[in-house]
Amino acid sequence: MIRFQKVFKSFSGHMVLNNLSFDIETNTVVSILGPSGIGKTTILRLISGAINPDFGVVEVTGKKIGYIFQDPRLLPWRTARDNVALGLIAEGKPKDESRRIAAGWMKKLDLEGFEDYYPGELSGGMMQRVSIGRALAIEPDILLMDEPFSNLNVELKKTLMTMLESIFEEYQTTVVYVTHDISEAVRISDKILSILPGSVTEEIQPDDFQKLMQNSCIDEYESDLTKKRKKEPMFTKKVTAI
Amino acid sequence: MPVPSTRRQKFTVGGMITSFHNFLLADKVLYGVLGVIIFLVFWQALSWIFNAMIVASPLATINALFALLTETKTWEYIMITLFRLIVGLFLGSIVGLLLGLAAGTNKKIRQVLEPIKWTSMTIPAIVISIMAMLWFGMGSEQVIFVVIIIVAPITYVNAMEGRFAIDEKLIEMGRCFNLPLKMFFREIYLPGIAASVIAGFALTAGMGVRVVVLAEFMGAHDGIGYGLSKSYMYLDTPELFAWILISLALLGLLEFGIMKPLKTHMMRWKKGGNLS
Ligand SMILES: Nc1ncnc2c1ncn2[C@@H]1O[C@H](COP(=O)(O)OP(=O)(O)OP(=O)(O)O)[C@@H](O)[C@H]1O
Ligand SMILES: [Mg+2]
Repeated sequence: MIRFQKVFKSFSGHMVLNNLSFDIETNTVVSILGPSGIGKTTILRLISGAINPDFGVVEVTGKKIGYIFQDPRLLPWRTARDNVALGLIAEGKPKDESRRIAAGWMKKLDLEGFEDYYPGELSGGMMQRVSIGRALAIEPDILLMDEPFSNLNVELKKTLMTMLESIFEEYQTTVVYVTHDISEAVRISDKILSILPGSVTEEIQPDDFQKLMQNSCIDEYESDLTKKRKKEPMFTKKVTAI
Repeated sequence: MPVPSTRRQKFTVGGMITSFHNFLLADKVLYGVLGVIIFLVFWQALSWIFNAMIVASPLATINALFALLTETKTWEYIMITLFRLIVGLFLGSIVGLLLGLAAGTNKKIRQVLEPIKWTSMTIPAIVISIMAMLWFGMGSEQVIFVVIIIVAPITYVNAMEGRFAIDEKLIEMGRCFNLPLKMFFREIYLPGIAASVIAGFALTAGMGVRVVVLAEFMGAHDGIGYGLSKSYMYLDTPELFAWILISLALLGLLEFGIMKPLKTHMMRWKKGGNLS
Protein backbone atom coordinates (compact mmCIF):
# COMPACT_ATOMS: atom_id res chain seq x y z
CA MET A 1 0.00 0.00 0.00
CA ILE A 2 1.31 3.40 -0.97
CA ARG A 3 -0.59 6.37 0.35
CA PHE A 4 0.05 10.08 -0.21
CA GLN A 5 -1.93 12.29 2.13
CA LYS A 6 -1.89 16.03 1.52
CA VAL A 7 1.73 15.95 0.46
CA PHE A 8 3.59 19.20 -0.15
CA LYS A 9 7.07 19.35 -1.60
CA SER A 10 9.04 22.29 -2.86
CA PHE A 11 12.61 22.70 -4.03
CA SER A 12 14.27 25.97 -3.04
CA GLY A 13 10.99 27.84 -2.88
CA HIS A 14 9.66 26.26 -6.05
CA MET A 15 6.45 24.40 -5.19
CA VAL A 16 6.30 21.11 -7.02
CA LEU A 17 3.76 19.00 -5.18
CA ASN A 18 0.92 21.00 -3.77
CA ASN A 19 -1.47 19.06 -1.58
CA LEU A 20 -1.18 15.79 -3.46
CA SER A 21 -3.20 12.79 -2.30
CA PHE A 22 -3.65 9.34 -3.80
CA ASP A 23 -3.65 5.67 -2.90
CA ILE A 24 -2.01 2.74 -4.63
CA GLU A 25 -3.25 -0.69 -3.57
CA THR A 26 -0.81 -3.50 -2.91
CA ASN A 27 -0.10 -5.75 -5.89
CA THR A 28 -1.55 -3.41 -8.45
CA VAL A 29 0.14 -1.78 -11.38
CA VAL A 30 -0.44 1.94 -11.47
CA SER A 31 0.77 4.24 -14.21
CA ILE A 32 1.47 7.88 -13.59
CA LEU A 33 0.90 10.18 -16.52
CA GLY A 34 1.57 13.86 -16.59
CA PRO A 35 3.37 16.62 -18.40
CA SER A 36 7.09 17.08 -18.07
CA GLY A 37 8.15 18.87 -14.92
CA ILE A 38 4.89 18.19 -13.09
CA GLY A 39 6.63 16.18 -10.36
CA LYS A 40 6.40 12.53 -11.41
CA THR A 41 10.00 11.75 -10.55
CA THR A 42 9.54 13.66 -7.30
CA ILE A 43 6.67 11.32 -6.42
CA LEU A 44 8.87 8.26 -7.00
CA ARG A 45 11.67 9.75 -4.93
CA LEU A 46 9.23 10.36 -2.10
CA ILE A 47 8.05 6.75 -2.28
CA SER A 48 11.62 5.46 -2.32
CA GLY A 49 12.48 7.52 0.74
CA ALA A 50 15.26 9.38 -1.04
CA ILE A 51 13.54 12.63 -0.05
CA ASN A 52 10.92 13.55 2.53
CA PRO A 53 7.78 15.64 2.08
CA ASP A 54 7.70 19.18 3.48
CA PHE A 55 4.21 18.53 4.81
CA GLY A 56 1.83 15.64 4.65
CA VAL A 57 2.26 11.92 4.94
CA VAL A 58 3.85 9.43 2.60
CA GLU A 59 2.97 5.93 3.72
CA VAL A 60 4.69 2.98 2.11
CA THR A 61 4.05 -0.57 3.21
CA GLY A 62 6.43 -3.02 1.68
CA LYS A 63 9.64 -4.86 2.29
CA LYS A 64 11.82 -4.06 -0.61
CA ILE A 65 11.82 -1.32 -3.20
CA GLY A 66 13.34 -1.66 -6.64
CA TYR A 67 13.89 1.62 -8.45
CA ILE A 68 14.52 2.04 -12.15
CA PHE A 69 15.66 5.63 -12.38
CA GLN A 70 14.95 7.94 -15.27
CA ASP A 71 18.67 7.86 -16.09
CA PRO A 72 20.56 4.56 -15.77
CA ARG A 73 22.68 5.62 -12.77
CA LEU A 74 25.16 2.79 -13.13
CA LEU A 75 28.46 2.68 -11.33
CA PRO A 76 30.86 3.55 -14.16
CA TRP A 77 33.70 1.62 -12.50
CA ARG A 78 31.80 -1.64 -12.20
CA THR A 79 31.01 -4.10 -14.97
CA ALA A 80 27.47 -4.51 -16.22
CA ARG A 81 27.10 -7.75 -14.27
CA ASP A 82 28.37 -6.25 -11.04
CA ASN A 83 25.97 -3.36 -11.49
CA VAL A 84 23.07 -5.78 -11.80
CA ALA A 85 24.35 -7.69 -8.77
CA LEU A 86 24.69 -4.55 -6.62
CA GLY A 87 21.38 -4.81 -4.79
CA LEU A 88 21.83 -8.53 -4.18
CA ILE A 89 25.25 -8.06 -2.63
CA ALA A 90 23.85 -5.22 -0.54
CA GLU A 91 21.28 -7.68 0.80
CA GLY A 92 24.13 -9.84 1.99
CA LYS A 93 23.95 -12.53 -0.67
CA PRO A 94 27.34 -14.11 -1.42
CA LYS A 95 29.14 -12.52 -4.35
CA ASP A 96 29.28 -15.61 -6.52
CA GLU A 97 25.60 -16.29 -6.17
CA SER A 98 24.73 -12.64 -6.77
CA ARG A 99 26.81 -12.59 -9.93
CA ARG A 100 25.17 -15.78 -11.15
CA ILE A 101 21.70 -14.39 -10.58
CA ALA A 102 22.77 -11.14 -12.24
CA ALA A 103 24.00 -13.02 -15.31
CA GLY A 104 20.61 -14.74 -15.50
CA TRP A 105 18.83 -11.39 -15.55
CA MET A 106 21.19 -10.07 -18.17
CA LYS A 107 20.30 -12.99 -20.36
CA LYS A 108 16.60 -12.25 -19.95
CA LEU A 109 17.26 -8.64 -20.87
CA ASP A 110 19.07 -9.64 -24.05
CA LEU A 111 22.43 -8.53 -22.67
CA GLU A 112 24.17 -11.87 -22.87
CA GLY A 113 27.84 -11.48 -23.76
CA PHE A 114 28.10 -8.01 -22.26
CA GLU A 115 28.56 -9.13 -18.65
CA ASP A 116 32.11 -7.84 -18.40
CA TYR A 117 31.55 -4.56 -20.22
CA TYR A 118 31.81 -1.32 -18.30
CA PRO A 119 28.84 1.07 -18.61
CA GLY A 120 30.99 3.44 -20.67
CA GLU A 121 31.29 0.70 -23.26
CA LEU A 122 27.53 0.13 -23.56
CA SER A 123 24.90 1.96 -25.61
CA GLY A 124 22.25 4.09 -23.92
CA GLY A 125 19.58 1.43 -24.33
CA MET A 126 21.88 -1.25 -22.98
CA MET A 127 22.68 0.83 -19.91
CA GLN A 128 18.99 1.28 -19.35
CA ARG A 129 18.48 -2.47 -19.47
CA VAL A 130 21.29 -2.98 -16.98
CA SER A 131 19.48 -0.54 -14.73
CA ILE A 132 16.23 -2.50 -15.21
CA GLY A 133 18.09 -5.71 -14.36
CA ARG A 134 19.51 -4.18 -11.20
CA ALA A 135 16.02 -3.29 -9.95
CA LEU A 136 14.41 -6.60 -10.93
CA ALA A 137 17.23 -8.78 -9.60
CA ILE A 138 16.36 -8.06 -5.98
CA GLU A 139 12.78 -9.24 -6.62
CA PRO A 140 11.21 -6.16 -5.05
CA ASP A 141 7.66 -6.09 -3.80
CA ILE A 142 7.44 -2.46 -4.82
CA LEU A 143 8.84 -1.55 -8.20
CA LEU A 144 9.28 2.09 -9.19
CA MET A 145 9.82 2.67 -12.88
CA ASP A 146 10.62 6.10 -14.28
CA GLU A 147 10.19 5.90 -18.04
CA PRO A 148 12.32 2.79 -18.24
CA PHE A 149 11.84 2.27 -21.95
CA SER A 150 12.47 5.77 -23.21
CA ASN A 151 15.73 4.80 -24.89
CA LEU A 152 14.64 1.54 -26.44
CA ASN A 153 13.29 0.67 -29.87
CA VAL A 154 9.75 -0.60 -30.36
CA GLU A 155 10.71 -4.25 -30.71
CA LEU A 156 12.71 -4.36 -27.52
CA LYS A 157 10.10 -2.35 -25.69
CA LYS A 158 7.43 -4.92 -26.60
CA THR A 159 9.61 -7.83 -25.50
CA LEU A 160 10.42 -6.18 -22.20
CA MET A 161 6.81 -5.21 -21.55
CA THR A 162 5.74 -8.80 -22.05
CA MET A 163 8.51 -9.94 -19.76
CA LEU A 164 7.54 -7.43 -17.09
CA GLU A 165 3.90 -8.43 -17.28
CA SER A 166 4.77 -12.04 -16.62
CA ILE A 167 7.07 -10.98 -13.76
CA PHE A 168 4.31 -8.90 -12.20
CA GLU A 169 2.06 -11.94 -12.31
CA GLU A 170 4.66 -14.38 -11.06
CA TYR A 171 5.92 -12.29 -8.17
CA GLN A 172 3.46 -10.23 -6.19
CA THR A 173 4.55 -6.75 -7.04
CA THR A 174 3.19 -3.27 -6.57
CA VAL A 175 4.28 -1.26 -9.55
CA VAL A 176 4.40 2.48 -9.99
CA TYR A 177 5.10 3.18 -13.59
CA VAL A 178 5.84 6.69 -14.84
CA THR A 179 5.40 7.13 -18.56
CA HIS A 180 4.46 9.52 -21.31
CA ASP A 181 3.08 6.74 -23.45
CA ILE A 182 -0.65 6.27 -22.96
CA SER A 183 -0.81 3.00 -24.88
CA GLU A 184 1.87 1.52 -22.62
CA ALA A 185 -0.03 2.71 -19.59
CA VAL A 186 -3.29 1.22 -20.84
CA ARG A 187 -1.61 -2.06 -21.59
CA ILE A 188 -0.01 -2.82 -18.29
CA SER A 189 -1.83 -0.90 -15.61
CA ASP A 190 -4.77 -1.59 -13.35
CA LYS A 191 -5.21 2.10 -12.78
CA ILE A 192 -3.86 5.25 -14.37
CA LEU A 193 -3.10 8.26 -12.26
CA SER A 194 -3.06 11.44 -14.25
CA ILE A 195 -1.28 14.33 -12.56
CA LEU A 196 -2.38 17.74 -13.66
CA PRO A 197 -1.09 21.20 -12.82
CA GLY A 198 -1.75 22.05 -9.22
CA SER A 199 -1.16 18.47 -8.12
CA VAL A 200 -4.68 17.65 -9.16
CA THR A 201 -4.91 13.95 -9.65
CA GLU A 202 -7.36 12.08 -11.71
CA GLU A 203 -7.81 8.35 -11.52
CA ILE A 204 -8.57 6.79 -14.83
CA GLN A 205 -9.50 3.19 -15.48
CA PRO A 206 -7.49 1.87 -18.40
CA ASP A 207 -10.67 1.11 -20.34
CA ASP A 208 -12.14 4.56 -19.85
CA PHE A 209 -11.26 5.73 -23.32
CA GLN A 210 -13.15 8.96 -23.13
CA LYS A 211 -11.13 10.19 -20.21
CA LEU A 212 -7.95 8.93 -21.75
CA MET A 213 -8.70 10.90 -24.87
CA GLN A 214 -9.25 13.96 -22.74
CA ASN A 215 -5.87 13.41 -21.16
CA SER A 216 -4.09 12.22 -24.25
CA CYS A 217 -2.38 15.51 -24.82
CA ILE A 218 -1.41 16.27 -21.27
CA ASP A 219 2.15 16.54 -22.39
CA GLU A 220 1.31 19.61 -24.36
CA TYR A 221 -0.93 20.99 -21.64
CA GLU A 222 -3.78 20.76 -24.08
CA SER A 223 -6.27 18.63 -22.26
CA ASP A 224 -9.52 20.44 -21.69
CA LEU A 225 -9.34 19.57 -18.07
CA THR A 226 -5.87 21.01 -17.77
CA LYS A 227 -6.92 24.24 -19.41
CA LYS A 228 -9.89 24.50 -17.14
CA ARG A 229 -7.78 23.94 -14.05
CA LYS A 230 -5.28 26.52 -15.14
CA LYS A 231 -8.00 29.12 -15.36
CA GLU A 232 -9.21 28.46 -11.89
CA PRO A 233 -7.43 30.89 -9.60
CA MET A 234 -7.70 28.50 -6.70
CA PHE A 235 -5.02 26.36 -8.27
CA THR A 236 -2.97 28.75 -10.29
CA LYS A 237 -2.47 30.98 -7.33
CA LYS A 238 -1.13 28.27 -5.11
CA VAL A 239 0.98 26.64 -7.74
CA THR A 240 3.15 29.47 -8.78
CA ALA A 241 5.62 27.15 -10.40
CA ILE A 242 3.16 25.72 -12.86
CA MET B 1 55.98 9.56 -38.67
CA PRO B 2 55.28 11.99 -41.54
CA VAL B 3 52.58 10.23 -43.46
CA PRO B 4 53.42 9.63 -47.12
CA SER B 5 50.26 10.82 -48.79
CA THR B 6 48.86 9.61 -52.05
CA ARG B 7 47.09 12.87 -52.60
CA ARG B 8 49.24 15.83 -53.36
CA GLN B 9 49.53 18.01 -50.30
CA LYS B 10 50.27 21.68 -50.25
CA PHE B 11 53.70 22.23 -48.81
CA THR B 12 53.32 24.77 -46.04
CA VAL B 13 55.36 25.74 -43.04
CA GLY B 14 52.34 25.07 -40.83
CA GLY B 15 51.98 21.64 -42.37
CA MET B 16 55.64 20.94 -41.82
CA ILE B 17 55.44 21.93 -38.19
CA THR B 18 52.35 19.80 -37.74
CA SER B 19 53.96 16.73 -39.24
CA PHE B 20 57.12 17.28 -37.22
CA HIS B 21 54.93 17.63 -34.17
CA ASN B 22 53.09 14.40 -34.98
CA PHE B 23 56.41 12.74 -35.53
CA LEU B 24 57.54 13.68 -32.06
CA LEU B 25 54.21 12.80 -30.48
CA ALA B 26 54.30 9.43 -32.18
CA ASP B 27 57.28 8.66 -30.02
CA LYS B 28 56.77 10.08 -26.55
CA VAL B 29 60.11 8.66 -25.44
CA LEU B 30 61.81 11.11 -27.74
CA TYR B 31 60.70 14.05 -25.64
CA GLY B 32 62.03 12.35 -22.55
CA VAL B 33 65.39 11.71 -24.16
CA LEU B 34 65.45 15.31 -25.33
CA GLY B 35 64.82 16.44 -21.76
CA VAL B 36 67.63 14.28 -20.39
CA ILE B 37 70.05 15.58 -23.03
CA ILE B 38 69.17 19.21 -22.27
CA PHE B 39 69.57 18.48 -18.56
CA LEU B 40 73.00 16.85 -19.07
CA VAL B 41 74.26 19.62 -21.32
CA PHE B 42 73.13 22.22 -18.81
CA TRP B 43 74.76 20.31 -15.97
CA GLN B 44 78.04 19.89 -17.87
CA ALA B 45 78.04 23.59 -18.71
CA LEU B 46 77.52 24.50 -15.06
CA SER B 47 80.37 22.24 -13.97
CA TRP B 48 82.65 24.03 -16.45
CA ILE B 49 81.61 27.42 -15.17
CA PHE B 50 81.83 26.63 -11.48
CA ASN B 51 84.47 25.10 -9.26
CA ALA B 52 84.33 21.30 -8.99
CA MET B 53 83.63 21.75 -5.27
CA ILE B 54 80.40 23.54 -6.08
CA VAL B 55 79.15 21.60 -9.10
CA ALA B 56 80.46 18.10 -9.72
CA SER B 57 80.66 17.16 -13.40
CA PRO B 58 78.36 14.42 -14.70
CA LEU B 59 81.32 12.10 -15.15
CA ALA B 60 82.64 12.59 -11.60
CA THR B 61 79.11 12.03 -10.30
CA ILE B 62 78.71 8.79 -12.22
CA ASN B 63 82.05 7.57 -10.87
CA ALA B 64 81.01 8.45 -7.32
CA LEU B 65 77.68 6.74 -7.90
CA PHE B 66 79.33 3.49 -8.93
CA ALA B 67 81.65 3.67 -5.97
CA LEU B 68 78.67 4.15 -3.68
CA LEU B 69 76.71 1.32 -5.23
CA THR B 70 79.49 -1.17 -4.55
CA GLU B 71 79.11 -0.58 -0.81
CA THR B 72 76.49 -2.61 1.06
CA LYS B 73 75.88 0.39 3.35
CA THR B 74 74.47 2.30 0.39
CA TRP B 75 71.94 -0.42 -0.34
CA GLU B 76 71.01 -0.59 3.32
CA TYR B 77 70.42 3.15 3.31
CA ILE B 78 68.32 2.92 0.15
CA MET B 79 66.17 0.17 1.64
CA ILE B 80 65.69 2.07 4.90
CA THR B 81 64.69 5.25 3.10
CA LEU B 82 62.38 3.32 0.81
CA PHE B 83 60.73 1.71 3.84
CA ARG B 84 60.21 5.06 5.59
CA LEU B 85 58.93 6.60 2.39
CA ILE B 86 56.41 3.87 1.69
CA VAL B 87 55.15 3.70 5.27
CA GLY B 88 54.88 7.49 5.46
CA LEU B 89 53.17 7.80 2.09
CA PHE B 90 50.79 4.98 2.93
CA LEU B 91 49.78 6.27 6.36
CA GLY B 92 49.65 9.88 5.17
CA SER B 93 47.45 8.90 2.24
CA ILE B 94 45.09 6.89 4.43
CA VAL B 95 44.73 9.74 6.92
CA GLY B 96 44.24 12.30 4.13
CA LEU B 97 41.80 10.06 2.30
CA LEU B 98 39.53 9.37 5.26
CA LEU B 99 39.53 12.94 6.50
CA GLY B 100 39.05 14.25 2.95
CA LEU B 101 36.07 11.97 2.42
CA ALA B 102 34.56 13.00 5.73
CA ALA B 103 35.15 16.69 5.02
CA GLY B 104 33.74 16.36 1.51
CA THR B 105 30.59 14.78 2.89
CA ASN B 106 30.06 16.92 5.98
CA LYS B 107 30.44 20.67 6.02
CA LYS B 108 31.00 20.86 9.77
CA ILE B 109 33.87 18.40 9.65
CA ARG B 110 35.31 20.42 6.79
CA GLN B 111 35.17 23.62 8.80
CA VAL B 112 36.83 21.98 11.78
CA LEU B 113 39.63 20.58 9.64
CA GLU B 114 40.25 23.70 7.60
CA PRO B 115 42.61 25.44 10.11
CA ILE B 116 44.53 22.21 10.64
CA LYS B 117 44.91 21.83 6.90
CA TRP B 118 46.25 25.37 6.54
CA THR B 119 48.65 24.97 9.43
CA SER B 120 50.12 21.73 8.21
CA MET B 121 50.35 23.07 4.69
CA THR B 122 52.23 26.23 5.63
CA ILE B 123 54.63 25.04 8.34
CA PRO B 124 57.98 24.37 6.64
CA ALA B 125 59.00 20.72 6.56
CA ILE B 126 62.18 21.58 8.42
CA VAL B 127 60.23 22.98 11.36
CA ILE B 128 58.09 19.85 11.48
CA SER B 129 61.26 17.78 11.40
CA ILE B 130 62.79 19.70 14.32
CA MET B 131 59.64 19.32 16.39
CA ALA B 132 59.39 15.65 15.48
CA MET B 133 62.98 15.18 16.68
CA LEU B 134 61.99 16.65 20.02
CA TRP B 135 59.05 14.29 20.32
CA PHE B 136 60.38 11.09 18.76
CA GLY B 137 64.16 11.53 18.88
CA MET B 138 66.38 10.65 15.92
CA GLY B 139 65.31 7.84 13.58
CA SER B 140 62.47 6.28 11.65
CA GLU B 141 59.53 7.51 13.75
CA GLN B 142 60.61 11.09 13.29
CA VAL B 143 61.09 10.70 9.54
CA ILE B 144 57.82 8.86 8.99
CA PHE B 145 55.94 11.42 11.06
CA VAL B 146 57.24 14.27 8.91
CA VAL B 147 56.26 12.46 5.72
CA ILE B 148 52.75 11.87 7.07
CA ILE B 149 52.29 15.51 8.04
CA ILE B 150 53.44 16.70 4.64
CA VAL B 151 51.56 14.13 2.58
CA ALA B 152 48.21 13.99 4.41
CA PRO B 153 46.97 17.51 3.56
CA ILE B 154 47.65 17.03 -0.15
CA THR B 155 45.72 13.77 -0.24
CA TYR B 156 43.07 15.37 1.94
CA VAL B 157 42.46 18.16 -0.56
CA ASN B 158 42.38 15.76 -3.49
CA ALA B 159 40.04 13.35 -1.73
CA MET B 160 37.72 16.21 -0.81
CA GLU B 161 37.66 17.50 -4.39
CA GLY B 162 37.00 13.97 -5.58
CA ARG B 163 34.14 13.62 -3.13
CA PHE B 164 32.59 16.83 -4.44
CA ALA B 165 32.81 15.44 -7.95
CA ILE B 166 30.83 12.29 -7.15
CA ASP B 167 27.38 12.52 -8.71
CA GLU B 168 24.78 12.91 -5.96
CA LYS B 169 22.48 10.76 -8.05
CA LEU B 170 24.81 7.80 -7.57
CA ILE B 171 24.66 8.33 -3.84
CA GLU B 172 20.87 8.46 -3.98
CA MET B 173 20.97 5.22 -5.97
CA GLY B 174 23.13 3.66 -3.28
CA ARG B 175 20.69 4.68 -0.60
CA CYS B 176 17.71 3.36 -2.56
CA PHE B 177 19.43 -0.01 -2.87
CA ASN B 178 20.27 0.02 0.84
CA LEU B 179 24.02 -0.27 0.43
CA PRO B 180 25.66 -0.81 3.82
CA LEU B 181 28.36 1.69 4.75
CA LYS B 182 31.14 -0.69 3.77
CA MET B 183 29.73 -1.00 0.28
CA PHE B 184 29.22 2.74 0.02
CA PHE B 185 32.97 3.06 0.52
CA ARG B 186 34.00 0.27 -1.77
CA GLU B 187 31.48 0.79 -4.54
CA ILE B 188 30.94 4.54 -4.61
CA TYR B 189 33.25 6.72 -2.52
CA LEU B 190 36.64 5.14 -3.11
CA PRO B 191 36.30 4.56 -6.86
CA GLY B 192 34.67 7.98 -7.12
CA ILE B 193 37.58 9.85 -5.58
CA ALA B 194 40.26 7.58 -7.09
CA ALA B 195 40.81 9.72 -10.18
CA SER B 196 41.60 12.92 -8.32
CA VAL B 197 43.56 11.21 -5.53
CA ILE B 198 45.69 9.29 -8.01
CA ALA B 199 46.27 12.42 -10.06
CA GLY B 200 47.69 13.92 -6.87
CA PHE B 201 49.95 10.93 -6.25
CA ALA B 202 52.67 12.21 -8.59
CA LEU B 203 52.90 15.35 -6.49
CA THR B 204 52.61 13.41 -3.24
CA ALA B 205 55.38 10.98 -4.16
CA GLY B 206 57.72 13.79 -5.18
CA MET B 207 57.00 15.64 -1.94
CA GLY B 208 57.52 12.42 -0.02
CA VAL B 209 60.98 11.85 -1.49
CA ARG B 210 62.05 15.41 -0.79
CA VAL B 211 60.76 15.36 2.73
CA VAL B 212 62.10 11.94 3.66
CA VAL B 213 65.58 12.99 2.56
CA LEU B 214 65.28 16.26 4.44
CA ALA B 215 64.10 14.59 7.64
CA GLU B 216 66.91 12.04 7.43
CA PHE B 217 69.40 14.79 6.78
CA MET B 218 68.20 16.50 9.95
CA GLY B 219 67.72 13.64 12.31
CA ALA B 220 68.65 10.09 11.41
CA HIS B 221 71.69 7.86 11.59
CA ASP B 222 70.97 6.08 8.35
CA GLY B 223 69.13 6.48 5.05
CA ILE B 224 69.80 8.44 1.88
CA GLY B 225 69.45 11.77 3.68
CA TYR B 226 72.06 10.72 6.21
CA GLY B 227 74.42 9.67 3.39
CA LEU B 228 73.85 13.06 1.86
CA SER B 229 74.65 14.84 5.09
CA LYS B 230 77.89 12.90 5.43
CA SER B 231 79.08 13.77 1.94
CA TYR B 232 78.12 17.34 2.69
CA MET B 233 80.19 17.30 5.87
CA TYR B 234 83.24 15.94 4.04
CA LEU B 235 82.58 18.33 1.16
CA ASP B 236 82.53 15.36 -1.20
CA THR B 237 80.54 17.06 -3.94
CA PRO B 238 80.52 14.18 -6.51
CA GLU B 239 79.16 11.83 -3.82
CA LEU B 240 76.59 14.40 -2.79
CA PHE B 241 75.40 14.62 -6.38
CA ALA B 242 75.40 10.83 -6.58
CA TRP B 243 73.02 10.69 -3.59
CA ILE B 244 70.75 13.12 -5.36
CA LEU B 245 70.71 10.80 -8.38
CA ILE B 246 69.81 7.94 -6.06
CA SER B 247 66.85 9.82 -4.60
CA LEU B 248 65.76 10.60 -8.15
CA ALA B 249 65.86 6.90 -8.94
CA LEU B 250 63.79 6.29 -5.81
CA LEU B 251 61.11 8.61 -7.13
CA GLY B 252 61.19 6.80 -10.46
CA LEU B 253 60.80 3.50 -8.66
CA LEU B 254 57.75 4.79 -6.78
CA GLU B 255 56.21 6.23 -9.90
CA PHE B 256 56.66 3.21 -12.14
CA GLY B 257 56.67 0.48 -9.52
CA ILE B 258 53.65 1.53 -7.46
CA MET B 259 51.78 4.58 -8.72
CA LYS B 260 51.48 3.70 -12.41
CA PRO B 261 50.29 0.10 -11.88
CA LEU B 262 47.87 1.31 -9.22
CA LYS B 263 46.50 3.94 -11.55
CA THR B 264 46.12 1.48 -14.41
CA HIS B 265 44.29 -0.88 -12.10
CA MET B 266 41.97 1.66 -10.53
CA MET B 267 41.13 3.44 -13.75
CA ARG B 268 40.78 0.37 -15.97
CA TRP B 269 37.07 1.08 -16.42
CA LYS B 270 37.86 4.33 -18.15
CA LYS B 271 39.82 3.10 -21.11
CA GLY B 272 37.83 2.74 -24.29
CA GLY B 273 34.61 4.19 -22.92
CA ASN B 274 32.24 5.61 -25.52
CA LEU B 275 31.52 8.63 -23.31
CA SER B 276 27.90 8.86 -24.43
N1 LIG C 1 16.64 18.67 -6.61
C1 LIG C 1 15.87 19.63 -7.17
N2 LIG C 1 16.19 20.92 -6.99
C2 LIG C 1 15.44 21.88 -7.54
N3 LIG C 1 14.35 21.66 -8.28
C3 LIG C 1 13.98 20.39 -8.49
C4 LIG C 1 14.73 19.30 -7.96
N4 LIG C 1 14.13 18.16 -8.33
C5 LIG C 1 13.08 18.52 -9.07
N5 LIG C 1 12.97 19.85 -9.17
C6 LIG C 1 11.90 20.59 -9.89
O1 LIG C 1 10.71 19.94 -9.62
C7 LIG C 1 9.89 19.91 -10.76
C8 LIG C 1 9.40 18.50 -11.00
O2 LIG C 1 10.50 17.68 -11.30
P1 LIG C 1 10.33 16.16 -11.65
O3 LIG C 1 11.67 15.64 -12.00
O4 LIG C 1 9.60 15.48 -10.57
O5 LIG C 1 9.41 16.23 -12.97
P2 LIG C 1 8.88 15.05 -13.87
O6 LIG C 1 7.40 15.08 -13.82
O7 LIG C 1 9.55 13.79 -13.52
O8 LIG C 1 9.34 15.53 -15.31
P3 LIG C 1 9.84 14.65 -16.56
O9 LIG C 1 8.65 14.02 -17.17
O10 LIG C 1 10.44 15.67 -17.48
O11 LIG C 1 10.83 13.68 -16.04
C9 LIG C 1 10.69 20.49 -11.91
O12 LIG C 1 10.21 21.78 -12.15
C10 LIG C 1 12.09 20.53 -11.38
O13 LIG C 1 12.73 21.68 -11.83
MG1 LIG D 1 11.01 12.67 -14.32
